[in-house]
Amino acid sequence: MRVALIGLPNCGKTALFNRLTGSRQKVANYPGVTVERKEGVFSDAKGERHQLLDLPGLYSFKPTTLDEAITRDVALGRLSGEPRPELIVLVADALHLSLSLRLALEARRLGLPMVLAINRSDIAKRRGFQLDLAALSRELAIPVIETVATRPGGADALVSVLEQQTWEQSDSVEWQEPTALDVIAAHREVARLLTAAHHQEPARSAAVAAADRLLLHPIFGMLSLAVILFLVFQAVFSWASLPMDMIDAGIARLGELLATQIPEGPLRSLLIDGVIAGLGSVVIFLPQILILFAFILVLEDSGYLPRAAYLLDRLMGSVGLSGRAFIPLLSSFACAIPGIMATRTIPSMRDRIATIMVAPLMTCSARLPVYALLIAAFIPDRDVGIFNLQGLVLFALYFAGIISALLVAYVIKRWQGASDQHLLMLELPDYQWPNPLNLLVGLYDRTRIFLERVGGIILAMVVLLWFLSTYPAPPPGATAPAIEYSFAGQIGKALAVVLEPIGFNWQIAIALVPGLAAREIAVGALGTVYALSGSEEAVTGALAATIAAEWSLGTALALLAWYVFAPQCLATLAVVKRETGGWRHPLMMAVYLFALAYVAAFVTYRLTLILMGA
Amino acid sequence: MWQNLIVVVAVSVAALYVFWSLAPRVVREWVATRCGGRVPWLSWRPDQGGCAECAASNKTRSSR
Repeated sequence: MRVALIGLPNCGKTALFNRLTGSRQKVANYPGVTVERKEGVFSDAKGERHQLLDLPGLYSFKPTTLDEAITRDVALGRLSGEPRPELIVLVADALHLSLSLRLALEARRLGLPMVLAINRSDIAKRRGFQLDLAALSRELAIPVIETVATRPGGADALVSVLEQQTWEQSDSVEWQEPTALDVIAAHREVARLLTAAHHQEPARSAAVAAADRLLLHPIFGMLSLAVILFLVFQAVFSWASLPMDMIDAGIARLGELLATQIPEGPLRSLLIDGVIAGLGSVVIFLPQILILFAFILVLEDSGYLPRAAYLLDRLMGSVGLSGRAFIPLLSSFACAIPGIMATRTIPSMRDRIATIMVAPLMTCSARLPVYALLIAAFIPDRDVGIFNLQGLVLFALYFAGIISALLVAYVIKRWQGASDQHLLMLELPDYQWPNPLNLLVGLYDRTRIFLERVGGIILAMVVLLWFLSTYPAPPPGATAPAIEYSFAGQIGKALAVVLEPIGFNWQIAIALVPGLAAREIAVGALGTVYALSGSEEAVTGALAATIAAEWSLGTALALLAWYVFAPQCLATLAVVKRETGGWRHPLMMAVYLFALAYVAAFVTYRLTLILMGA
Repeated sequence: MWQNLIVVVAVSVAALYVFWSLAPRVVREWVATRCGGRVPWLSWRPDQGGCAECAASNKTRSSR
């Protein structure tokens, strides 16, 4: 049987999906996490297999956003290549039952058999929630059960209903969007149903109210947000040094071991100068990436993020972005691609395009290795007051990305003319302690994703780059390092003509090209290039020491400025094309980001030269 | 000699991998169609080639 999970945003549909299918789809404590349909399979006690669809949350079957439209279209069988579900499981949030019941009344008009699952009933009961399930089931003429999706066995009642009942498919019905009169009638009907089911509303938590008085305060709230973000970037540098040193030592040891085991020749060079130097330069940043993601996961799980969106709504509105853009932009700190897909929750197409265009300016995790390498090489590791200087610089770089995004959004707003005003209506979930298991699973997933990337596209790129940097061999009597006579050396020197005004040398030029496939490859490429240039330190993984010795401060700062605006990876452009339905926006994005990166690097380099008196 | 052989194979595989990862959707679909769907990874979604996170989150088929 084909079963669809439908419900309000953030009511626990994906948690229920994960519970039933054993899947690990992303769940977080804010609305709009799921923007695409997800499909899984689960078996009941009889061994019968069911297909389960997890659909984006919606408040009404009259959609205002793209993700809501996906749910409506799947439920009506309008999505091409997607068979209509045979059963709807309407997931209701016990903490917001009246809204869920209004959606259930609309869903009943779809003409599909339905089960009402009252989720999060455990939390609601602790706050005095009461409901006569049998009475509600009688009134609605559908099965009504309780679920606790976050608890093992919390979906058993649902599985048992699915296997005990037979579900009759009705003939297709003429679907009509609910009108305002329908909505008013539904509200009355919901009130009647709740009375008939002896519903007792759960009380609002006093602790949540007290926390909100501080965290949503116009001044203290903004201060709290700044402190939280600041602490994250301090921790990224302060906590990661020990594991990074251990990885560095491990890589160096591996290089030495291979050097003693493999005789001189191309394979030894490929493994030591190519693979070990290239991949080692990237892998060393895993602890910093994990610390950053640990904080992001904690914030996602805690329920704080929608509050931050609320706090920043006025600021974002002043530059033409909707408050709803906050979550997509925050997702872009992980990777611009899920951030761009999350813009489907923005109702206005104009606001959505503006958010898509600035999403790559948020510092994605692939940029972290580049930042960390250059900061480690050029910024002293010392304290300024209670703060670590390297952490301060990293915070400034992330902040520069955010400010640039706001400025670009402002320009887009002026260019597009007056935008429709959209009030921010966002449900603020309860605060909750982050689930340690979710955190561990999230970090495990992040590690796996990073290592798969290192072992996939980055490894392949490093091997290719080694080949291009090794062949052809230097002519007899050549005095310069062999790499300067190679294909890559010649390409780098040709590109260096264009990049010289912004302070980049030919080694950087070589690294920037594969960096288009994935930004962190630039670090691996630098590792390989400097290893082949004869730097023993690069071979042992201490790439930071090598570039500190070979580059000027101006070059390093210019490269940092370049990467604040770094022309995004090709995968991002492909997703922008898909989401905007053409090449116009991805091309505009590539051009404006290249131009901004070049100008920012030029200004930074020249200013540094002037200030350093060169 | 044996070192050269291994290097040639490694570089060729890496070149194919990079080409396939970055190839436009039309190329991937053309090859996938020619293979008659017999090689499942050929249908790997092209626009997620660079975003491992998205590729992982879209491996949605699972069973308990």
